[in-house]
Amino acid sequence: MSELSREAQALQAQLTRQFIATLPEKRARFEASWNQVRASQWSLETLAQLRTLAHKLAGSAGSYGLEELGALALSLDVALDSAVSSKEQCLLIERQTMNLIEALVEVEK
Amino acid sequence: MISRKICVLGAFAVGKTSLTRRFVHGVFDERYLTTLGVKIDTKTVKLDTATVKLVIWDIEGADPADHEVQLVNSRMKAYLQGTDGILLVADGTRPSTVDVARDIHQWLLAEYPDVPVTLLVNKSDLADLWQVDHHALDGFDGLLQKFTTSALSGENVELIFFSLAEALTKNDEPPDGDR
Amino acid sequence: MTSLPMETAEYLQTEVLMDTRCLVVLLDADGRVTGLECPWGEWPLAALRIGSALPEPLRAVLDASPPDQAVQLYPFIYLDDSQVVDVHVCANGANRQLILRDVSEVHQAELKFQQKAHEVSLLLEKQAQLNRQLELQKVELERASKAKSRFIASMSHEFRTPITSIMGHADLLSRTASDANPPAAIQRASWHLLTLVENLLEEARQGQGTVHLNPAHVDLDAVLKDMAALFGEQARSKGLELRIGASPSDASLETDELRLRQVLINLLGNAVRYTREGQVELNTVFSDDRLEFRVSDTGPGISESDRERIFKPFMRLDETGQSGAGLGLSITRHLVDAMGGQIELDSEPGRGSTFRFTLAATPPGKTPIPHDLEGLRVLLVEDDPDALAILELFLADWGVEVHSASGLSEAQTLAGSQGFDLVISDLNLDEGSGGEVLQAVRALQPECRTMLCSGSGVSSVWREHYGGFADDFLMKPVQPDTLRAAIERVLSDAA
Repeated sequence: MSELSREAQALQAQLTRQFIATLPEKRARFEASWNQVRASQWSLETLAQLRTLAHKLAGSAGSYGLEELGALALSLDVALDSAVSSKEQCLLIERQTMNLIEALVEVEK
Repeated sequence: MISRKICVLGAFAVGKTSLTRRFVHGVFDERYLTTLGVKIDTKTVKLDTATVKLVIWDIEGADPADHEVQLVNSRMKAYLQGTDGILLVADGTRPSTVDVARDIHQWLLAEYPDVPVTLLVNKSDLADLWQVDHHALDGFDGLLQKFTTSALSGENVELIFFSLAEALTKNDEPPDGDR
Repeated sequence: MTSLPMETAEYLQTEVLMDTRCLVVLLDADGRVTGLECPWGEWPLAALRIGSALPEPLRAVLDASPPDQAVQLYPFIYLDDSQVVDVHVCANGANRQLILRDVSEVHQAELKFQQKAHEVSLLLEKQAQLNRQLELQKVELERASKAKSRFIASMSHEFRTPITSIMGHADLLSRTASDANPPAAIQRASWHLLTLVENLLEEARQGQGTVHLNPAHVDLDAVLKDMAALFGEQARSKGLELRIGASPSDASLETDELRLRQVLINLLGNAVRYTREGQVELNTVFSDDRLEFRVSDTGPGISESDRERIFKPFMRLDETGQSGAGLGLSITRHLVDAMGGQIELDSEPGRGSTFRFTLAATPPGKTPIPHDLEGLRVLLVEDDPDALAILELFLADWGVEVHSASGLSEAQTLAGSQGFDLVISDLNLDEGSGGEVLQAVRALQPECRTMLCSGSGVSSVWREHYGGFADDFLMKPVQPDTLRAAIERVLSDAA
């Protein structure tokens, strides 16, 4: 982080706090998306939406110091990347989605 | 006994001599030995309606590449005189021989319009090298019959001579019709 | 004849006509032989006898001759295989006569000539036929070969997708696992697999077409370490010593890492495969702004005559059950050429081989002076507010003038109304794709530099897909130092 000026670092800290504040909303979106996935019986459209959420979180969490959260999101993103045809894949996604939502709950605390 | 003259015509190396020898003597020789002039053979065949002595004139092959003479040269014209029927032979593995046969046929239509002509596409045993299909045999009007033959295997050899013999005797008056 | 002098008449009789065998056959009305006369000597034709019927084929000739003609000539009538006569049918007087003239000799001579002429004709015909067949076969082979190449190329592209996925997972594992070794091994093997797929693709293209290069800073240490790990086991099991020299500390290399790996894997693979005892070495030496790579072995060596041959496509030196892909030197040379080097070979039979090539490199101290980014005009295309906020923060700190858009149409509007030095776009946008955005901006402002930002996949594979319109790539999540380095790189390329 040596590339940033003192002021920028302070700003980043502030941004991070703001980011964390958005997490409950993100969690709600994940849960909603996940419910849609299950309701539609793993339709490709709902999976794509879930993936978009995971992809965006994976791309931003790390910048705000939440590397582990970002890693979980990335893992979900990667899992959704391949064509979802096998049942193991489905169970894996289920597990990882639950992990992510749990973690979001944790961070909120 | 009825006797009929049959001439065997065609481009060189199509199998005229082989067909004749196969029919008359029952033998086949793989070697190509060109005919210069005419070889005359006879064979008596027993048909339903009559017994016929076939006098077969195996005539030298025509060579379209020889530009000094006509395709049907003066010797061939002499041999053809008085013929009752014609076997026109082509080689199924050499399409150029079908063109020669067509040219000869044109000449025959002009000079011997009433003589029955049977077209033979010979060497049917050489299936791998066969090049002549049905469409290649278009443009022969007024043929008596068309056959594929093989002097080597014997396919259709007897048939063609017998068929032609039948055709040459069917207009005859009852038994004592003689030349 | 009475006007001839007697000597000439005698000569005619004894020398000329004597050589001509003639026979006159007199016939009655039924075609029976009534007389035989041989004017000049004797000529006993076995089947001809006074009193008997005219034998074949003469009978046939007689029957066929037109009765109204005084004389009719029938040349070259075969009496049997060796006797050939001219038959003149004469219808003078009450009955007919035949004059037979022996023309066997003349016939034989002409027959030989005709036989040869026909044989030549037949051979020429056959030759023409064979040529036609060959032509058809050639066309068919070419078609089949092209089809195979296309198939291989499409399969190779297919392979990349799962490999990318594996590398992504391996990358993820390496970030979260306690033991870094398995993920590193997976990544290494994935790289290896990727280079093999690239080799396959290259073989299918058969060295035609240009190689797409995506140069970037190369961590030479990592590459060399991977080579050591890749071939260490294989070398050990053959009793060979594998020595990989350390990378020179005073050199910084920028090139396409995937291609460099392809080349080194090819050369090291061959060295290990064809060396039975001794060692295989890979050394790198920096001098004169070039980094030299040297792969040497104590193998059988390559003779002068084989030297050019081994660089031909699909060439294998010996077919004897050696497993693996073989030499692949044609591809290697193609790649080294594309990277700006030239492959050279020092070898003698019995004295091993050394393959060398150099690539442009710079001493680290000579890296370009950090740009002052003050006043730089940057267009950010990003629809995730969190990612956007961070990027804006970083860029603003460096004095960059930032404009942002959330999708393709907004980006086009902005790029249409003002000039930018650099556009950075996320790959996965809700509206449009990063690729479309960069293409659109490029179309409007050809001088503008472009950068693509993505959170997944292997950067080198994305480079392959988007290298056409992205000058550089950025992996998310973004860190300030990598962002800065990428921007500076992109700007110094433009300079």
